[in-house]
Amino acid sequence: MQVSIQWLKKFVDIRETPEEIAELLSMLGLEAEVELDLTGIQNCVTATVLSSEKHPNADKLKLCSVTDGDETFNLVCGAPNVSAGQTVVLAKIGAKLPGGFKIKKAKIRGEVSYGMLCSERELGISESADGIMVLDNETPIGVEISEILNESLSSLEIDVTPNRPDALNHLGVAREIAIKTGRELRIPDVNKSSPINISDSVSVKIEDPAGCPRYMAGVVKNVTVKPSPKWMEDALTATGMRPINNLVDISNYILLEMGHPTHIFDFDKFPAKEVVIRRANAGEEFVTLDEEKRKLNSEHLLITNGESPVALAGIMGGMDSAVDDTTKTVLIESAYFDPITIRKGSKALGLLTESSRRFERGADPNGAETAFWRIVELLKELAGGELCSDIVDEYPGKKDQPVIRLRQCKLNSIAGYENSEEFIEKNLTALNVTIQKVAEGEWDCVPPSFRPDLEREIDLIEEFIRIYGYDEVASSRRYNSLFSLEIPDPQSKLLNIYNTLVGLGFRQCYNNSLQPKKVAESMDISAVAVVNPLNEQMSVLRTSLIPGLLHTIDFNIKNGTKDLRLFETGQVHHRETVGFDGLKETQLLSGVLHGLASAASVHGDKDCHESVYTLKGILSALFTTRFKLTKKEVSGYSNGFAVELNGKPVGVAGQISASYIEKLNLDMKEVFAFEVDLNQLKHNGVVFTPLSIYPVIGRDLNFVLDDSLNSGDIESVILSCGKGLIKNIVPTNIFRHESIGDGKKSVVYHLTFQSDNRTLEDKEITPIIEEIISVASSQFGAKLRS
Amino acid sequence: MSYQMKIEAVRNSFRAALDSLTADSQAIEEVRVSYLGRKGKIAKLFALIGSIDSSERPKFGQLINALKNDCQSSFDEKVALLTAETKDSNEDSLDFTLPGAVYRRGSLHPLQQTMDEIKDIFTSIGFSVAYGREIDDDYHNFQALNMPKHHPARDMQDTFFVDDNTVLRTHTSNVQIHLMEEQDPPLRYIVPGRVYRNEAISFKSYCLFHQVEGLYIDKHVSFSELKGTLEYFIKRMFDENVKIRFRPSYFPFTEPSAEVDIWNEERNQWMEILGCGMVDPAVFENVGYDPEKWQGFAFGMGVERIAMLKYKINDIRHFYQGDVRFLEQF
Repeated sequence: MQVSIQWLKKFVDIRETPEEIAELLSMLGLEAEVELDLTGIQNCVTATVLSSEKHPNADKLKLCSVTDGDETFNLVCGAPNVSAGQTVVLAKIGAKLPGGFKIKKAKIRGEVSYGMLCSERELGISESADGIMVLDNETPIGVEISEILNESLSSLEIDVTPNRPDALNHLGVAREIAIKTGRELRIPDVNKSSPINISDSVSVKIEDPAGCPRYMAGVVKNVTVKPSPKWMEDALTATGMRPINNLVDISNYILLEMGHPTHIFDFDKFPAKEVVIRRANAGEEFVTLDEEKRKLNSEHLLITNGESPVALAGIMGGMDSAVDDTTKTVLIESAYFDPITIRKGSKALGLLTESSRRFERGADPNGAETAFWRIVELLKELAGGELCSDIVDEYPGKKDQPVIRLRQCKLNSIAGYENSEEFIEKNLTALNVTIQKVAEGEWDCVPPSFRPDLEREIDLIEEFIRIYGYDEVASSRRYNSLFSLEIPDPQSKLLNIYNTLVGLGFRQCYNNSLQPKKVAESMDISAVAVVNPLNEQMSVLRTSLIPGLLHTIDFNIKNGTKDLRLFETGQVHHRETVGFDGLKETQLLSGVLHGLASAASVHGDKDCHESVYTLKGILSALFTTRFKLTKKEVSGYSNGFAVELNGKPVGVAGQISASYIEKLNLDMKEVFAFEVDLNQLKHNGVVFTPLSIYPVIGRDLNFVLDDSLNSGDIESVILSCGKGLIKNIVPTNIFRHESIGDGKKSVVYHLTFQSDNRTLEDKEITPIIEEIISVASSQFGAKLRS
Repeated sequence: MSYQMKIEAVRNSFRAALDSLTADSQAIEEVRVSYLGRKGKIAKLFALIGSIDSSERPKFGQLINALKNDCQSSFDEKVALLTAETKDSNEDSLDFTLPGAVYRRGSLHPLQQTMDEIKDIFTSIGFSVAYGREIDDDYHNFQALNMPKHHPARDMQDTFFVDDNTVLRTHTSNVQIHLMEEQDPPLRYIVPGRVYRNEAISFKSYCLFHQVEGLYIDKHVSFSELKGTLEYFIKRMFDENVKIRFRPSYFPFTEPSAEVDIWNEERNQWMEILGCGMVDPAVFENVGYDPEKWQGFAFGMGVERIAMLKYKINDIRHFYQGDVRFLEQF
């Protein structure tokens, strides 16, 4: 909300600069910024245009002579609207304009210009750059423009939180300043007048008292529609509102003055002199003031003239009953509508107005009366209107204000510092809270009706800390002791895994969880859809981290990096069954490999492409415990494996199939990937294995095997013959050559023998080797290579 | 054995010695002395001349001389080769400007690093870490946090819905409710996680971000302790001398509520970094805690926002693009 500083000054003394007031309000919870402050403008004075003639060398420029009362200046001006006799703003040579712009002497098409005449945009007042700013001819000349305009135009932009409807107006903001500074708040007098001459009447029937707890109405006749006086136009302009005519402006002015929305109808356009407040019928149509035809639902509240709707209650009036230049008799509506009804109505139409914003946050039911009388008064003053009916005040929903017990001890406990009784009582009064002391340090408090947010003790407690100033509260660095047996961070062990991956060259990614449905379901998993997505590209939650990582590879290839190891951890979702319990969430760790694992170098290294073997090596480094790969059909993979860790399935790995990459419309060569369930990786604590003090004995066995035989199969047979003495077995060389035989390979296994309790001797090892050779020969037809 | 055979035996053993010779200067000298030295094996062959028939003597002399020359020249050649090899690895010929062997290093994402740093700071002052679900019901994300349906504060968070009653959580505060439903006070937790907002994507907003929520409930937790805790966090996270301000604000689930700003010298303005407040008694009532007995504070911060301030990142979208030119900087 834009707030005029001059307007605030009507209600409270302000000696601070706009900057200081913004800071003061921000620290009270009304986040404020200076919207317009002209104090930075220097050497820009009011001046009179003495003459204006065409520039001899340019059609669109003029040569002007202006005076500030002391001196005459000749300058070149490009504005179409400049003419002799105007009072204008002259930026002299050396003047400073907003944005650091400085005025210098200039030669324009052969004529020297000693200054510039300013437009509103050049002064930072508005966006208007149609021509130079023309001031009232009564404006004194030779005065700095900031002195003249800053006063009337300087304003603040305040971001009011939803709990503070009372601060959506000048009086409310002024009240906050008064409370904080201890200055007096000047509340406008309300004159309740009686109609001198009753010539009209209006009846009000509230069919929906829940939606409309209060409705005040009265008729004013003989109004003259015309522009508002300058002070009112200036006030509205300073808050960013466009003046229209006196009737409309009066309603807006009261809205901004004290926050209560009202409506002024052209009463002559009412066929029957009655007002009926009812819910709309589903599908009922209504043309609002902005000339839009609105389709309503049964929750919308309507003001009708008994026959047809005249206003969408609390949101916007209707075309048919709007005031115009010929309006003579008006009906003033000042009502209080139910916040939820207004909010639902406004949401359903996507129609947020100054009025609905205030009602949905909770207007003041008592403010309806004040607003009513202020409108009557201004209609008389500015439009010559006379009240000509009895005042109708239907108030079926009158509620008592809550009584809140406030305890000093609770306040001190929440605040963490002492609040004196004097401080408490002084500020309750400043807040318009009616108090009754019931005991030492205890009060019964009745908050004012314009503060619907004050309902409970904690609401009052907040007020004291807020007014005291959050910055004044001393910080405490002390807790009551609290010990917990629990592990501080159950996921801290995962950091080891992340760091291992980093050491292996992986970069961590955070990809979007929201994907197109066809991507999320590309692995044949049913995805969870969002009913109100931003767009189709982000309509469901991802079911796997792989598609996101593949897109990241694609993105990086396009940006020049193709050798990539990437990983991501994150939640994925899928739908198992309908309903809330059918939504499943899993935390995954996934990695992808693309391009070269290592590149050729000057030291003789050769290019090494990522492969199933680099993938397997990474998994071995990652899972220090025994893991196992088993061939498996996996959606999206051409060479898929199930990954088992300590005998439990934890995920999948393998080569991503070319057809899957194509399905995602991506363009890349071989990609290897793994995806595991992170929650399965929180391994148990390490148990130490004692170190053997006996010597290690190595033996090499060179077998000739069928090429189709998996090396791992032989290894497990060798191990089973080892009587527990084989500590390790690893293939060290594989050789294929015609000398060995077609479809054969020669594999060298290096075996390591060690005992935990004795020195092994040849006579123990030799029978084991013989056993291995015989079993390998009988089971696999393996022959020892001579 | 004929003298010819004796000569050939010396030649063979010399060759074998030469073959196994390394760049060890002592070993080189030993071979030289034992074959080519004055008392070496070749010199000793000369001593055989007395036992040789005089007609054979000239031939014998020629053979020995040939052997001596052969051995000397192959010895010199070998030594030259060996010392040259040694020179190669001498500092003089080593080119330090060649690239080293390539070990590609990866990196943790800046959000992970920031999140870990936040966790470290809070766990060091006695907070535990809890995690929770990203899809939750309306009750845990809103209603239990004192945001009934049609509450104007719901406008502060644009929500993605899975159905009328199920949302992608808009904050990690849903976990607050789960924790309090499951545990009796006192408790002290932070909750990191991913949250979603139905906001158009731009340089300053994304459809999701990461948040760390904090909650501390005990009998006498006060606003003063909230301030002390968060000041401690901010000073450790940013800089001991950073200027901090607590500004009153509004959240339905805390009262009093505050937003915390830090002063940004470069931009010459306050930058909001987190929201906080004393847990609203209505929230306690919703989870069955007695608000007369328990008090607490809660806070929530955006990890992206903190990372952007800390690393001077100007566009939030960098975090989610996976551009390695971005990632490798952290």
